[in-house]
Amino acid sequence: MRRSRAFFGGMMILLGLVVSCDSDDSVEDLLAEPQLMVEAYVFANEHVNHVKVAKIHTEGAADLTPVNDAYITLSQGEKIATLHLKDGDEGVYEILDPEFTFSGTEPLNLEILVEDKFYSSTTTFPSEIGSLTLTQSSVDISDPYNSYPLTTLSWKDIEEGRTYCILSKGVWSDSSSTFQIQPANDSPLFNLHNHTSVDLFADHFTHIGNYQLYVSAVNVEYMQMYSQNSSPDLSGAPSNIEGAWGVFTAFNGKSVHINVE
Amino acid sequence: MRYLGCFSLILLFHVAGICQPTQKIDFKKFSGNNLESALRLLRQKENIPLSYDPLAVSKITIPDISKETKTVEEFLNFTLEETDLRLEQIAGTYVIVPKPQQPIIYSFPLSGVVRDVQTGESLPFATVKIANTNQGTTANSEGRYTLLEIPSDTSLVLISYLGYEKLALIIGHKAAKSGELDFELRRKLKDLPSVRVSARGKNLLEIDENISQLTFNPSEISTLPNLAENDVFSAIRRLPGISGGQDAESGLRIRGGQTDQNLVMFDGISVYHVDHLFGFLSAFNSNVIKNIRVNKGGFDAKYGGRSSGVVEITGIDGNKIKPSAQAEVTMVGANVLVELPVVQNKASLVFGYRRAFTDIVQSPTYQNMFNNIFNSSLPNTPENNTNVFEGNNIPNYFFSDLNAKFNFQPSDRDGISLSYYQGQDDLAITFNGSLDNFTRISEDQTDWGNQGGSVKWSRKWNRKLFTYANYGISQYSSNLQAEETFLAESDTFSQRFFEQRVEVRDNTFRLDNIFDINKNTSLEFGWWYTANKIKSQAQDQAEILQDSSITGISNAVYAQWQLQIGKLNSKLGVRATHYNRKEAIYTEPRLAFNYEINPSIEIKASYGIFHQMIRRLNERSLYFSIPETWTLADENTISVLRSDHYIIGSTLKKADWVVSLEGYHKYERGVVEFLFPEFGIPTGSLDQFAVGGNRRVFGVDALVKKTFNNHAITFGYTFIDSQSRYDEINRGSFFDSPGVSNHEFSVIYNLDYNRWDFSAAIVLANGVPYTPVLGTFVVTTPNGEEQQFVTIGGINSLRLEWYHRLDVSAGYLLPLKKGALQIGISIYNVYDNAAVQYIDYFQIPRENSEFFDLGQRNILSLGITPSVFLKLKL
Repeated sequence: MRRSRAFFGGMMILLGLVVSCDSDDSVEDLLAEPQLMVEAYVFANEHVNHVKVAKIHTEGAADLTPVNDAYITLSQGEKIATLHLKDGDEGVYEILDPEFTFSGTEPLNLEILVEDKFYSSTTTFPSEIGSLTLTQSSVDISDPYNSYPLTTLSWKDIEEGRTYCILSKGVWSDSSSTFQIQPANDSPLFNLHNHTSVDLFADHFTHIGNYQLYVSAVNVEYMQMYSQNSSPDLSGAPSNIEGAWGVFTAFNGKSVHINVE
Repeated sequence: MRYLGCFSLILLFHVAGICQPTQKIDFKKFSGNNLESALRLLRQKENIPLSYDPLAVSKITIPDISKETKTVEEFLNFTLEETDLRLEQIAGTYVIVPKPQQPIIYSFPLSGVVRDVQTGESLPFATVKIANTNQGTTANSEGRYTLLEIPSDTSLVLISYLGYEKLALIIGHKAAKSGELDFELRRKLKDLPSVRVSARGKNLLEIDENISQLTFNPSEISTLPNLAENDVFSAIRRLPGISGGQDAESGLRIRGGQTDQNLVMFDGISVYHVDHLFGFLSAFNSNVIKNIRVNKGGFDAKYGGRSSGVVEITGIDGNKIKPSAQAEVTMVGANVLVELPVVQNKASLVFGYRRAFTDIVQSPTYQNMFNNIFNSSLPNTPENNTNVFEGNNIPNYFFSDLNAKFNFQPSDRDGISLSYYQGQDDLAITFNGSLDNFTRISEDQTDWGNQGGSVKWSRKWNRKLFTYANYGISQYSSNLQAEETFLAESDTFSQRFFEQRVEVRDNTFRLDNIFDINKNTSLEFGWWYTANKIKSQAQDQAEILQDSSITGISNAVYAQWQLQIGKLNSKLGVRATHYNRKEAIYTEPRLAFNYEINPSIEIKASYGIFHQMIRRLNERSLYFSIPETWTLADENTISVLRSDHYIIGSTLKKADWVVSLEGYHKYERGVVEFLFPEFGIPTGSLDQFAVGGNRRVFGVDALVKKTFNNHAITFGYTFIDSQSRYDEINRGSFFDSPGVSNHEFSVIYNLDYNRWDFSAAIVLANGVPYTPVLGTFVVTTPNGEEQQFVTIGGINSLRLEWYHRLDVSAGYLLPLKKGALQIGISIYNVYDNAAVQYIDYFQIPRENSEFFDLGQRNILSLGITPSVFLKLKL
């Protein structure tokens, strides 16, 4: 009987040890805190004017609440800049001096202080692509049913296997000479590319007027954020901001002019 | 029966508790009295556990007892000194047996059938043991047993079966000479007409010698608290290792496994859809069940095709002696059972039919249950307490099941039975919705269920070889017809039609053989052939959306060598399965060891590999109009699931105590899980599932059972740590598996008072894990494109609140001149604890926007639900 008592005692101790192991509850803290969303884009050698900071709605609404009292710095090596709230654009910050720009291979650091909470992220500029060309720099999109490409955008790159994005630049700041149109959903300007040549059709353009097409290799954080389809991603929103959701990324591209009529 | 008359002694055991030799009794007062009356007094007044042949002891007069006689042992030894009887202590009971006579026959084999004395029903898996030896056996599924090399014809044999009085008898010369002996046991029930059985506390389950295996007593289920009906699976869910926290659960979750990972067989028919009423009730009518064996892991080489557990349900054969019938009315339906002896002691017929009358009368019990499911099923709504019975569109729902069985024994060596089973659920429901001038009417008609039949033949070729052959066909089918009509100011401007049919067919042939080589060694071998066919069809008013049919054939052979060496019983087995869709052979070693430290304590261990080829894709099948989706493993769908089981445990059985403790580890490869139930309804599409993961499970099952006088109490505790891992999810790290509670406590208490039964059951379980939603937001690219994201916390990183519930019941048995009337009342969730069963997040579309907001609602557990049943047995 003594032997059996000892045996069962041992089993119960083992049971106790197993039961005492439990998961932590650190996510509960995350639930209690309002979540911050950061959207920060830095272009090499260009004015930094889009670092957006907002709070995610705690009741499930998609609306964001702009944060206008954030203290934000961008630094690269010895270079440090403080960002300021943009006039008339709530929750969006810029470097006041348009001549103060970043470039080079050193890491780029973003630091944000909101209500005594600190958020940070690091990225680097991708290396620049080679020559960028357009087969036709002036296109006419008046016939949307035209099934032939109006122009082909191509570039060279000594690094293989990179992913690229194509952006329309010079359109937001000059609305007098350009105006927005609704492109097709599969427009290459909304997608990422693994090839170095893209045919552009009539329904691909986002604007009419004179502007630039900007091509840059993209970093992994940008790919993670925008390579998803539009349905809600149930594995969670990607983020490279420590303590917050969103993306901090850098571009280092080239641009060509295009005239869209 | 043939040899029953020649037994030298038949002893009915009335196990009353641990022997108490030191009890202070004045034995002197018995001097000069008849021993039979003294023993009756000791048993009834002093509660001494005694077993004896009344006729034999009635002839004995007690001699003068001295004051020094202080113990029962001293008293009986002194009294029996000059008689032909002697005292023995067996299993905590004082047993008076004849003094040993000189044996005439030595070392002989004995075989026969264990039966119910009143109905002639064979008793599967009954235990037959030779007292004071390690020798014993378990009867097979036909109630047949074989004992080889019994020491002598004076050996005492002990026969036991759950829910029956134990039997002890000395074999005698005649039976030893013929080698044939049938045992007849008496049911331990109060409902025997005009017989008052002094109940000794309910014996709901028995821990078997095999590791992780237990036998359930279906006749005791009616004494447990229930929900609307006396239900088998609801009772099984109260056992450790089997999930019981949820109100409605489709199937059983055994040791963290998914519900499709259990092989559920009813009379050899593989049943794929095991519930009625969206999981609140099982698909099996408890009145037609004779025996339920649940194996929670590490099972024998004979079983395969599933990776978690085996539930083997044996239906009754029918009364072979006299016709009998019973009828039952519950809060949701009615139930009839008829048993007819076709040829006395040879052939019998059973017919059982159960039908819910919920389409005609909606009792409050049913309304409660249906509303609970209705509120769980409505997508994209914040509502969670809609009463569907208050509106104009009362749902039309009912379920039914039919059991028919013909059992025939053409000879002493052969048994044949034909079984048929059909279970069906039928739902017609209308959803209406209006917005401004538009009205949407959605009408769904769904029916689903399982039907099948089996032919079983068993033959005892000789004392050493027994064959069991079974051919079973089974078909699960689900049919959905949905029509959606949009009206603008009563004019139809749009109509949509959708039809879906899912079918799972199973043809299984089993050939099982047992060859007893000698008293210590036996060999089991056999062949299982299973052909599955899965058809999925879907179409709308315009086109055929899906029309697929896949077939898979598994051919398995197995062999298992059982060897008894002293106190060590070992099973070494292997099962090899050829699966045609992968053109591969899956080899599964199975090892099990059982060591008896002393007559009260055993330690056990087992190891095995288990493969599963067929999978069900919707884990929560509780939603309306969503058929279950099954698939077969292959290169294009999912991989074959492999599960490795490592189990160690121990059982203590002493007097009225049973303590069982088992620890186990399971490692599964090829897991498929529905990881985000919070975000909507599983449609069965593989895209919604995480596929090809691994799962590791550590767990402990503990059970303590104590019966004393007319009380019985069972404590159960389940610990499960189940973690899943997928390469592409959670950065490849393990996370808590969905749907698994870590801790679950259960208590079942039963009081047997005269003709009354009172029961109370408590369930306490920590919540299942869920993935918290932290919010949603829209990000804009430098190009101006906007994309919306839902931000979630760690996968299954939080758990719901603890769930607890108290259920109570009372039952009364009224013996009639011929038969008995049983009345029962149960209250489920007595203190109306509305716990969160799961959290549902839904999208709220924004006007003139492609984006949505997120809504959240808590799906609550079933509140207080009383129910009543009335059962008449004739």
